[in-house]
Amino acid sequence: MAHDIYSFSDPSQRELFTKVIHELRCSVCQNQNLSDSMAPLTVDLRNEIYEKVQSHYSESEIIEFVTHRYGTFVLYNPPLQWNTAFLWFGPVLILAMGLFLFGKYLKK
Amino acid sequence: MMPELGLFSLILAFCLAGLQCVLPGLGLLKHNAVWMQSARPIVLGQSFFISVSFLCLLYAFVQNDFSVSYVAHHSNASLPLVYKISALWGGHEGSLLLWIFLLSGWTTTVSLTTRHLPAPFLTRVFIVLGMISFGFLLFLLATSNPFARLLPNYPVDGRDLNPLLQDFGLIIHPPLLYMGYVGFAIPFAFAISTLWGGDRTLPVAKWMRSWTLLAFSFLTIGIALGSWWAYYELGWGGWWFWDPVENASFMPWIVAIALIHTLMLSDKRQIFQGWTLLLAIVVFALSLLGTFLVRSGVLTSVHAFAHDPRRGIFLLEFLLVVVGTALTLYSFRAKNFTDNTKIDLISRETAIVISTIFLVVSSAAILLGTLFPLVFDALTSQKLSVGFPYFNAVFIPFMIPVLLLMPLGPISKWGHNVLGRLFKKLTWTIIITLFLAVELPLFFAETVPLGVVIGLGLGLWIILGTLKWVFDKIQMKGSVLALSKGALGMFFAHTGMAVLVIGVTLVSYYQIEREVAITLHQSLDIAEYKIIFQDLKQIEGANYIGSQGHFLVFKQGKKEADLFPEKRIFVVQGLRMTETAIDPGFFRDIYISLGEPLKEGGWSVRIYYKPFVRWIWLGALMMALGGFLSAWGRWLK
Repeated sequence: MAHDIYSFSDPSQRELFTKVIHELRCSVCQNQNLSDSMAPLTVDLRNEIYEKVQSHYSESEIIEFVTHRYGTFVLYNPPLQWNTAFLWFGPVLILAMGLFLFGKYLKK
Repeated sequence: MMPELGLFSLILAFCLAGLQCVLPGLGLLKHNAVWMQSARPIVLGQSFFISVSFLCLLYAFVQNDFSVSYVAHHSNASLPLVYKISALWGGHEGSLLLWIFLLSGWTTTVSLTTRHLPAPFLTRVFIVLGMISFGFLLFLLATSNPFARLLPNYPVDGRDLNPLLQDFGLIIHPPLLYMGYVGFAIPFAFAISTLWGGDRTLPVAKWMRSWTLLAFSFLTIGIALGSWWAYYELGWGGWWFWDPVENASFMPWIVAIALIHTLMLSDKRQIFQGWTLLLAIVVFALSLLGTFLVRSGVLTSVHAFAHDPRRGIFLLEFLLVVVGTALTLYSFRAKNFTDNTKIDLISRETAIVISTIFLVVSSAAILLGTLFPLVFDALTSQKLSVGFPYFNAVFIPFMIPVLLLMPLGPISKWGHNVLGRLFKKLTWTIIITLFLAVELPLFFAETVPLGVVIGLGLGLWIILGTLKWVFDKIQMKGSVLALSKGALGMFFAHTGMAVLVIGVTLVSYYQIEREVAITLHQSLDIAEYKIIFQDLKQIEGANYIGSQGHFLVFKQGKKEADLFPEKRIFVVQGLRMTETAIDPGFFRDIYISLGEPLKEGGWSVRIYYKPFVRWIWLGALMMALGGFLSAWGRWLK
């Protein structure tokens, strides 16, 4: 039987690994995640992450490890901090404004 | 000689574009009917010279004229003919010429089919279109000349077309996309002409709707092709990456849907005309923004075309001038269109307006996410990425209200409705929808996550609600044939969206991926399938060499498919490409992609089980069909 390149005894570990390599960006590619990229750097990083998952690192510890080495550029999920507040809350604010204006129109 | 003829034609077209603005413009000022009417023949003349130029470039590719720099960079003597032709739009200069060529095509069509519209209005439309053409031709001639020569020492053979582009899907993807982008210039020109002319009504809403529907349908197919191409070509089974260039095409698509529906309000109920005009401007602005994003190299993406900062700056300036002028004009003239009509809370009008608010906000969210890394970098000098977790988190929730309202729109009436009566009509639809959403997945899966219930539920809600509307209408009118093209169009468009939503939901939740190390005659299991690695051989093609695997796909002991994934090395540029092998099916795809040969023997291989993935593109095609039907229906009136 063929064997998985990355094998896990625990399905939650497989889920964690899959989630992390999809949400992290390859730092030397145009726009690929760590799962799709075939760059040697990425292959090495995938293996490192695999080992960390096997060693029971948590998601935040793995993210911390990768951003420490490559910066926040590699996060496809932009962190929620004061200078990304507009990014995360902007759409809802625009929606609220739109619905408010329409509500006013209905009342006329 | 031909390249020079091509360049000269382009210059002539450029002059005519300028004339198209100036002469009719003077005609408007001086109320000279002849000068105003000169727009039409000038449009035809401009189209003629642009066509000549386009054909000259085509000739250069077909004749392997490597003295032309653009041809040398994107083609090769051993390239199959069909790819030599499509290489014309494989790079920056040529795709711009294609853009201009298609704009001249749309403009010519407008000039030939709008004789019944008032002359001053049409004159203004042609002036606007002339200005757009002028701008793009200026850009082409000043920074992106496709006919630049490599004399006196020109290469014996070209650099070759990027192997990724040597593919059917990519041959027709750009022209279809551009038919969409460029097509939106028409409703834009109609909107500007209305505002400029100081009109207080929008009688052309009906015509704007047809043009927008046409452009929208082409854009839909173009985007679907891009997604389908990425799926089978890139090797990882993905069909949407929220890549900046994908977003650049998606944003105008979403706002175009909003525009199509507000045009209905403006046409049939004479309300929200100001909002419609604004949306017409926004859709084209997003098309231009898309052009800028793709070509300026400003965003890192798999698509980055242009590497010359001059081009980026020119496009940005052009974009700002066009959009700035349009929005300024709008801010002055929008007050001509204030409505005082009262609309009911429970009405088709409200359903449409609320849907368009959510659509526009979704598009704004995508714009925000796409541009934020740029702005963040400019302000803080830090690099930030915004990827699918953000886009999914903002886009999906905003689309849910739109999907909920979709069947309610047609079923509710214009004007006044009683909420209770509406829901009485739909009680059985709601019950059946909820039941199926929970039970249907159990036919092929073991669990039904909440996301599946929501996504599948919304899709079924639209399909069943729309079917109910169709049956009611058939009952009323007596036969299926009595259904208007508009009604059929709506049916396919809405149902198509539902099919797409169902496909997206099911494949996202139920797909299975396995990455394995496998040697000859070994097997692996995925979903209810058994895959056997039967054979591996060396292969050779017209411009590549490589390896080809043979895999057998079995389900419950019966063979369902033979798959032949390949790894190719293109000799000219030395690029390695993966050719995936897919067993397509209405209910599932089995997808195999060769990785790399392993030191210990055998290969690393990725195998995917993709349930209902084809529904995504089927849904898109249905939407395009719906758009074409509706456009056709309106045209005949």
